[in-house]
Amino acid sequence: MASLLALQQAFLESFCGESEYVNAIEVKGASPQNRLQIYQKSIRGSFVKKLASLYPLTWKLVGEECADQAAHAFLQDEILLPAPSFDFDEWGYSFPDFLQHYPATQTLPYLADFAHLEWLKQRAYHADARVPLTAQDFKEIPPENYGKLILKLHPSASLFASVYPLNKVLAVAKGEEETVDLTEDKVNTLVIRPFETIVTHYLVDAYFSFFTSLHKGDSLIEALGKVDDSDFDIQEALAFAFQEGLFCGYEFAS
Amino acid sequence: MDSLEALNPEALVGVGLRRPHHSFILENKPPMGWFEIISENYFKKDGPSLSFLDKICVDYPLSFHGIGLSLGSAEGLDKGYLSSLKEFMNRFFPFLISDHLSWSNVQGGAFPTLLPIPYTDESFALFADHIAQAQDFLGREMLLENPSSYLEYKESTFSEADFLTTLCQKTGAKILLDINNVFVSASNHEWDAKAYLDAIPPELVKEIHLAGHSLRTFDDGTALLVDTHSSRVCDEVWELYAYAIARGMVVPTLIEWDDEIPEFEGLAHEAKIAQSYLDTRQVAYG
Repeated sequence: MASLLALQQAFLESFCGESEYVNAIEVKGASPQNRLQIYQKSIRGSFVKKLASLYPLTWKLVGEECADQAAHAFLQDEILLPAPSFDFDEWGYSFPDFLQHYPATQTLPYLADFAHLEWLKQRAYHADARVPLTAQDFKEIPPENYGKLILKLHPSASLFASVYPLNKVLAVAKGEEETVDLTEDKVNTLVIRPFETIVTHYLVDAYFSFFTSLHKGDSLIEALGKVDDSDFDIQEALAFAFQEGLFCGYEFAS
Repeated sequence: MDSLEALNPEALVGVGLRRPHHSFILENKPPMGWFEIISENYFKKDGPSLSFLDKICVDYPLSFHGIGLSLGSAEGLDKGYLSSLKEFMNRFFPFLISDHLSWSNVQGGAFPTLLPIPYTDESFALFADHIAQAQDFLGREMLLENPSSYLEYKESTFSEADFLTTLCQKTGAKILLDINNVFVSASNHEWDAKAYLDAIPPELVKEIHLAGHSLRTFDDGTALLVDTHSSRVCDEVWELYAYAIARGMVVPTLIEWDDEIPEFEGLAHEAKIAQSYLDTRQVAYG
């Protein structure tokens, strides 16, 4: 092997097929191929375990054997390395998309959305800590500024709509229900970790539209305009938001 | 900082701090010399894990053990990693900082394992440079751990023990001697484990690791030991530990357990055994 750099690149290539790496290994006792295989299996095994830790309820829902097979298939085409420092913050986020097309789980059409919801919980767990705004903080904003008020959502907050009843799927995953009726209503979810506990809220359409608009950076007035529900009560929605720690700051549109 | 320096756990046994034990430790504050964390598990995090660490460091000394600095990467050191480590170090004041004689980073990504390097002049120069960079940046001494390995390279010209010792003598770094890794590598490469320990100057060793391993048998009937950290420390490793202590390596010792993690009591039991080895030595020679 010409250099250390070439050797290390050859190790990476060994995951995709032919590589010179095996020729650099001393031949003594166990074969070079078996020795290399220990590292390769360890790496793939670590990635499968990492996926299982990112998507624990998905693993529970479909069973460990099936989930492990899906994970190996996900990792099969090319090795997906996390960023240096083993920064797994973004690693594995595309596993739900993979599940959407994975043949063995096509009988579970909700699985990709369910896994995505789990990803949002992971994201919430590792999000920056911020002290949520309180109703008292809001009261201190001069009312004449409400027209240009932009409320900032907490960094841990994510909003996600699914056509499947993910709350019922969750009950099945937790063993609280045995079956799920896919004809039941879709769900709008809000995942948030205002303090130390991750909370999943299921929102009515009006709240979901309102908070999604705020999440995109719309002003309070603009968000209100996007709610298509004559019964929508903004005071109740804001009271809910303050109670659940949804906002962490505000600014005024210029 | 002053209180933590007073707690400097010389010749005390600690255990690896793992997430399944977080709640138990906070609620029960079990007696333990110190805890070791995997440094990068906490980088870029501002969630409950970091909040837990804020609480735990009030009652226990911490050491930082890295698996991601990739000191042997031919593509250079990850400056972002070092910055995160320094920031983290300045928040929690670990009494030891360590990483491995290995590499993991290539082409902008990181393998989640510790990969072996050939023990050559090129590798030596690279490691010496990277360790100097890291210690200069952090402003403190680092410990370098001997890896468990499943292969050797044809082009190696140093023995591992000589490579590690000479590297530490050149850079001022110290050794984190993983006794289980010595046993695993010695078994896999037909080395003499005690000769390995004999080749390490005791004054360079500032920490010892102990752990369990597994046997992997191949279809052709050959087998290798694998450093799985998934079981109790075996008798042969305890024997090597006693041998190391007898050679004067009376230093903070850590029980590592990363897979099939037992209840905290199981880990504490292993720590008590290790402590009894250290205490015997201190009574005999103290």
